[in-house]
Amino acid sequence: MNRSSHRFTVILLLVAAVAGLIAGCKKGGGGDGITIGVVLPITGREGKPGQYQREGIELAIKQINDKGGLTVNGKKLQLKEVFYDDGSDSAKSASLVERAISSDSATAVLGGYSTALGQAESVIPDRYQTPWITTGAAASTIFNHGYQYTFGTLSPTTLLGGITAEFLGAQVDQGKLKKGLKIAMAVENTDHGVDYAQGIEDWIKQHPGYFTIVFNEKFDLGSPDFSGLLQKIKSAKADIFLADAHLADYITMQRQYLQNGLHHQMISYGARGPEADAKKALGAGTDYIFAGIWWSKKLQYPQEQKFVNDYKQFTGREPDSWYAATAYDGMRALALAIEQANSTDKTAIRDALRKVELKDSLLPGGAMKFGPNGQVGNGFLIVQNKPGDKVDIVFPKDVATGDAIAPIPAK
Amino acid sequence: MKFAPGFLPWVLLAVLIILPALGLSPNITRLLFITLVWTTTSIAWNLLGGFAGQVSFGFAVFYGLGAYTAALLIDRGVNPYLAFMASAVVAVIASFLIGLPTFRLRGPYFAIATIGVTEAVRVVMSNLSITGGASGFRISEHGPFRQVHHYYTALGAAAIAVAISILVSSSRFGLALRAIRQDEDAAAGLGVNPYQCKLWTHGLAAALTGMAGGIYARYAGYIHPQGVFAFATSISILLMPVIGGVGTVWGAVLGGVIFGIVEEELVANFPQIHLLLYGTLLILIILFEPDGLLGLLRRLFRRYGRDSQSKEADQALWGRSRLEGREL
Repeated sequence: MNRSSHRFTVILLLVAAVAGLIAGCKKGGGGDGITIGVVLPITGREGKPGQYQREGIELAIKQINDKGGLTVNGKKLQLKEVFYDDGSDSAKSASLVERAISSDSATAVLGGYSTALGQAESVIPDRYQTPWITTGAAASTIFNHGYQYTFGTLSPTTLLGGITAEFLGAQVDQGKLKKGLKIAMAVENTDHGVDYAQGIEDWIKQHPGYFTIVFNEKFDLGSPDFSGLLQKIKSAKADIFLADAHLADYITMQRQYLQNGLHHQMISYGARGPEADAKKALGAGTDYIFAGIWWSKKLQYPQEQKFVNDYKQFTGREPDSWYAATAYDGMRALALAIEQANSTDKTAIRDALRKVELKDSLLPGGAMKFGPNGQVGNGFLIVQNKPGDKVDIVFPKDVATGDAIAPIPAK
Repeated sequence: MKFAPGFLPWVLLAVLIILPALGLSPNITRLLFITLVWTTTSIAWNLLGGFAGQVSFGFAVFYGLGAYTAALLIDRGVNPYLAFMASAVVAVIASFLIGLPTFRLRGPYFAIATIGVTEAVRVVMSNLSITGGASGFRISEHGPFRQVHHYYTALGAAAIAVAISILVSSSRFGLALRAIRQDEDAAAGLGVNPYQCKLWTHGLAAALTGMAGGIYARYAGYIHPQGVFAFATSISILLMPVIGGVGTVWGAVLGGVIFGIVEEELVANFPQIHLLLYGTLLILIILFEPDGLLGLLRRLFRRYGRDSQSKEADQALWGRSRLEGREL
C-alpha cells in the first residue's frame, strides 16, 4: 500500500468512525413512558453544582419509577430521562433544550443552572409550548418577560439580598453589631449580581441608619484574579464585605482575600458558603462566612431527613449545600402536575404546574407553589460556617439550629 | 449522463429551498439553520484566510457585533432584514478600524493582534450597559416564532456568501489575493496593492460574518458577550475551512456543513470528550489530508476514474479551474 492510499484509508476510516459513533448514539424516549429532558452543566465552570442538580432530579425520577411510574389516564407510565451536558456554555444550553424538545420529544425540560445558562434556555419553552422548570436560576429577568411555560424552584435573588441585609440588621438589633456600619459590595456582572445588590440597597433604604454602602463594584464571572478588586475593597475600609459569586469565584476570591490579609466583621458570598469544595480548598479559611441559601440539610421538617438519607444511599454522600434539593423538588412538582393534569399534553401540564402545590417540599416553609410569574417565593435560610466543619442555620430564628457568630473574631 | 458540475450549486440550492416543504422536523430545521449560519462564517473567513492567506483569530468580533446590532435594532422594532444589513455595515466599519493598523503587520503578528482585539472587544461589551453587559441581551420580537423563516434567511445569507466566494475566486481580484498569499512582495512587484486588497477582503468577510451573527441572534433570542464574542467562536470560524479545505470555495462550504452537524452531535453524545474527539479529528485531517475533506473527495474522484486534471472535476470540487498543484 503506497503512502497516498494509506492516508486515504486512514481519513476515510476516521470519517466513518465518527459518523458511526454519532449514528449509534441516538437518545430519546420511544415506547410507553414520559420523556423528561434534563439540560445541566456537568463539565466546565458550573460542573459541580450541575452534577448535584442532576443527582437530585435522577433521585426523584428513580423514586417515582420504583413506585411504578406516574398514573395518567389510569395507566402507569415510567419516566424516561434524556440528559444533556451543556458544558457551562449558554449557547449550547439553549440549543440542547431545543434538541430535547424537538428531537427527543421531551414532555417537559428541567435544568438551567445557573442564571446565565437559565437565561439562554428560557427563550425556548414558549416557542415549543413545552413546560420548562429551572432548578438553578433565580434572576428576576427570567421571569418578568411574560413567558407562559417557564417555572423556577429558586426564590428571587432580590429576596436573597433583602434577607442578607435583614439578617445583618437583626445582629444590630441584638447588639452584636453596631449601627451605621459600612458595607463593601462586590457582585458578579450578571442579572444575579444586579438583583442581589438591589435587594440589599432596597433594605438599607427602608431601614435608614443601619448600614451605609461605601463600595459597590461588579466583577466578571469566572475571573481568574480578584486582587485588584480586593485592594480597592481594602482601601474602602468597610466593616462588612458582601459579595455575590458563583462557587469557583467564591473559592478564588476568598483565597485571595485571605492572602491579602483582609478582615471584616462579617463576610458573605451570597448563595455560596457551606460547599464542601470550598472547605476542601480553603480549610478553616471559610469559617464564619455566612450565606443565604435556598435549602439546608439542617432543616428540621420530617421530609428533610428522608431526603438526606435517600440521597446518601443514591450517591454515596450527603447533599452539598442546596443544589440537589431544589432540583429534586422541581422534578417532584412536575410529576405531581402531570398526574393532576392526567395527561401528557404539554399545555395541560403547564396549567397544572400553575396550580400544583408540593405539600412535602424540602424548601423553607415545607410547601412549594409556583407564583403567577412561574417562580416560587419560599424565601431563604441564612447559614454560617463555624469552626470544625460545622454549619448552622442562624436565620430566621424559627428554624435556626445555632446562634450567629457576629462579629467574626479577629485572628 | 454527462457530468455537469456547473449545475451542482443550483441543484444544492434548489434542494435546500424545497426541503422544508417536505415536512422537516423542527430539530432538522434547527440543525440546518445552525449549519447554514456556520457555513456563511466559514466562507467569510476563507475569503481572507484561505484566498489571501491572512490568518485571523478575530472573526468573533464581527460575529458578535453583527449579533448585537441586529438584537438592538430588532428589539426596537426595526425590520429584521434591515437589521441584518446594519449588522453587516457595523461589522465592515469594525473591520476597517481593526484592519487599518493590523494589516501593517505580517504573518504571526497579524494573527496575534487579532486575538488581542477580540479579547478587548469582549471585555468592553461585557461592561457596556446599553447591551446589557455581561448579563446579555434578550430580544423581544413581536409575532410568533416561525422557524422556517429563520431557515430561509440563513439559506439566503449562505447563498450570497457562496456567490461572493465564487465571484472572488474567479476574478482578477481573487488572483491578486492568491498572489498575496504566496508572496506579498512579489505581488506588490506585479502591481497588486496588498494593503488595500487585504483591507477590502477583510471588509467583505466582516460583512458576511456580521450578517450571520445577526441572523443567529434573532433565532437565539438571547445573546451574551461570553458567547458571541468568545475566543472559541473565532476558533470555530477558523477551523471550518481548515476541515473542509482551506483556500477553496467548496471546502469552506463543506467545512461549515461538517462542523454544524458534527459539532452538536459530539457535544450532545460525548459531552466529556467532545473536544478531544474534535481535536483528534482535526489533527488527523491536518496530518493526513492537509487539503481538508475536499482533498479527500478529490481522491475519491480520482479513484473512481475521473480525470483529476479535467477542468470539469476541478471546477466541481474547487470552484474554479485548476491553475497549479496542491494549493488550489
